[in-house]
Amino acid sequence: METRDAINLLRSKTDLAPAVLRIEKQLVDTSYWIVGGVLLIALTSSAVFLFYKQQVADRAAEEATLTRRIEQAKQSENVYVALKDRARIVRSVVNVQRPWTQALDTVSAFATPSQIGGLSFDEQGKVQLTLKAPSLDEMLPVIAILVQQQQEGRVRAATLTSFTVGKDGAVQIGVAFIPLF
Amino acid sequence: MVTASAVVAASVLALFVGVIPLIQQTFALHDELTQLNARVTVLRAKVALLESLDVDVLRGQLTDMLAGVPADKQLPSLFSTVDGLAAVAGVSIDSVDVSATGSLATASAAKRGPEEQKLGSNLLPYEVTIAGSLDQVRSFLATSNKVRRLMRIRDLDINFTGSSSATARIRMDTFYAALPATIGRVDQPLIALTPEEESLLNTMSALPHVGDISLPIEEGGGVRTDLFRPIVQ
Repeated sequence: METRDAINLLRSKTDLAPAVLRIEKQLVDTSYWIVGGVLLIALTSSAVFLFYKQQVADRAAEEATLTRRIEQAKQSENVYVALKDRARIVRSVVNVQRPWTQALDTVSAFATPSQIGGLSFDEQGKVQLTLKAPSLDEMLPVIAILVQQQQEGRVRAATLTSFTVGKDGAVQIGVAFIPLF
Repeated sequence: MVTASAVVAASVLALFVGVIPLIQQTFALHDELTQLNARVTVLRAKVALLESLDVDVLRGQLTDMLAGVPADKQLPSLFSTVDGLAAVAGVSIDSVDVSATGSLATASAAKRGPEEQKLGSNLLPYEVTIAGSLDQVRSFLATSNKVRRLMRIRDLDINFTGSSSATARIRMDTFYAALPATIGRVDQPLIALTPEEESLLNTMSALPHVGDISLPIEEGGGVRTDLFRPIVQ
């Protein structure tokens, strides 16, 4: 039977082995590191999160303001878009206009109106020409100039398409060529 | 030891339940911010461009361009331009024959052929027969490329009726295209006029009128504000 003055000589706690004590100490140290690390990551992440959130809010507000300003400038945008579109169309139209007068000048270089019976230009840029002269001697220089133009690179694919000599010696020829603009 | 283990477990739990989702949300916010920045950059440039524009100058430039390629067929302007060309060149007009006129109103809904799709505009073919000297015919051909409304010579036949007189039958095209129906989204970028486009605007404004050109209908005597409403003839 225990009394108040009794001394309990029995140990209340059993001593752990040193190895176990070491492990316990390491575990406690590790727990400090883990908690500290998690806290640090959490704080950093929170700070970055709040920063980005503020940035997003600011940008969204700016986007709304800019959108409003663009809608207020709708009239200008209408006209500007129409102008850009029209400029694109006009450019493509201008690019398909051909300088037919250069072809006429090419013909005029070797034939006078009195020597020309008929003249046509087709869509592919080919010229068909009917030339007439009172005699072959007067026609030959005309042909020679056309040949020279081909050699100079001012025309290409020059061909004689017809050749007629009348009873009176009058000559009529058909030539075709492609003037190079 | 038990306490330390509990603390570690709690920390790990907090990591997976709280911190990692927070990090994921942060990355999502970063992506959203990147996209927002890109949109805002486009909008800033667009606002800067729009607020630098002078609407009156733009209207004048658009008027010049529409005089070259109008928004609809504008047959009266075609006839008056051909007439004006003949007057300038000194030739007489024997006939003007416009083929495939179709509806006199805008034909923006008409199906475009391959060439028209390539050009981005509708073609209105016609044939004009003129008479004059070779120099006058040449002047007609030369001037046709340098006036508003824009025209193109497709092919021609010239018959010489005398030593200095000729008759020319010329097959030509003129062009028309409806104005854009929409202007795109608010966040669609606007590109500033390129130097080439500026040069084209200057060239077009310098081209002479030789006929009457009708402009987009004015509302109540004032300037038409909404170019994208259908034109009522």
